[in-house]
Amino acid sequence: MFVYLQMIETPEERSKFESIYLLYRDTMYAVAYRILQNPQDAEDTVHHTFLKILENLSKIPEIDCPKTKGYIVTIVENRAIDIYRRKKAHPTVPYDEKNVGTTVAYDGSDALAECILKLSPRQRNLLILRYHHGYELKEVAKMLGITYSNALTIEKRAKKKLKTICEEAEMI
Amino acid sequence: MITDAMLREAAGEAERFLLAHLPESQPHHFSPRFERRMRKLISRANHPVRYLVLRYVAAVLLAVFTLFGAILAVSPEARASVNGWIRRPFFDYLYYFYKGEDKTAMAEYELTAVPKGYQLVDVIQSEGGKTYLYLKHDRSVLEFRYVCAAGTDHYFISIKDFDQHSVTVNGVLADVYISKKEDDTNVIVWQDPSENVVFHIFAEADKAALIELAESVQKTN
Repeated sequence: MFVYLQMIETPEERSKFESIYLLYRDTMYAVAYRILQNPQDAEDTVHHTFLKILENLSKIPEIDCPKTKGYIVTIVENRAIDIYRRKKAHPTVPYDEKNVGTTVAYDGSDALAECILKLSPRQRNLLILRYHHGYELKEVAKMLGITYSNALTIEKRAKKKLKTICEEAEMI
Repeated sequence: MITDAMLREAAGEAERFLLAHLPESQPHHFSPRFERRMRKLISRANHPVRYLVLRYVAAVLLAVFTLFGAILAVSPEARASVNGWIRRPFFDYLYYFYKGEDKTAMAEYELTAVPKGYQLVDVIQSEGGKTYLYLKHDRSVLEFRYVCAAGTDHYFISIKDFDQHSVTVNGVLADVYISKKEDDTNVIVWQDPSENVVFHIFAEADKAALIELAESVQKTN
């Protein structure tokens, strides 16, 4: 039985996770560390993210591509924010609020993208996973470690806030 | 009105922009603890089917042991035929399960020769025993655990990629499992038959150091 089971694990499948690990671990650490400012917490975040990646390995068709990188960065940032919030609720070390999530001033020409970037990191990440990566909301909930109903609420609020931001920017 | 098509395009552009503004990543020297955890995860990823089968097997075995416990609970003949902790290797695991009815009151133990640099960070009290977790500044872990028959009927440890050595701890037979991987945690397992207690110590230590640690364990009550 085990001989048969070993045979269906192709070398490609075997090396996929390891390749992702070697390619993205430093980037993931940098993203997590920027938020958490603590090496151990950043490493825990990277480890947890790899657990999530392993659960969703089949959904990653290509290892070295911007979409995969975006997916991985989104998951690691989300996890780091979770840990940050937990630490903030029970503070043992000082955390700097401004480091939470990636916040950069958009200088491109897509007005709606600029509005999306003004959402909270969690709302923004959910919309990116839903609309750019094309995942179902149930899949997104699993990836972000939240319940389906929570994901529904975040999506609803994200769209409402996005509409408000767009109206304020006189886009719509 | 923001359509789904507009959202798809804008979300893609937002992600592209975020990726272009990621923090600069330098090669990071990850801690030994992280590397160990990742090696386990990679091993699990490399053999997903085997991992699932082993999980299934573990679940089945636990069910069997529970059933066995139930039989012992209602059958005086079955109870009379067995007594004490029994070790059974199974694939990459060692199962320790208690058979018998003469369960002792829970004894307390402590590690009296904790190696230099380790600090006690947690003591986890479970129904059948206690786990002491020690940590060093470099995140090296030392775990001392004991399980008494009074509360737990079985537990198992993974011995995948370990070499087994038979040794003695204060004259009692014991097993040392030395990892085939460099810088990994090794383990020593032994029993105190008079108290129906099984012990283990996980540490980044060699065979002699593990025996020394085990021999330093003392009963406190």
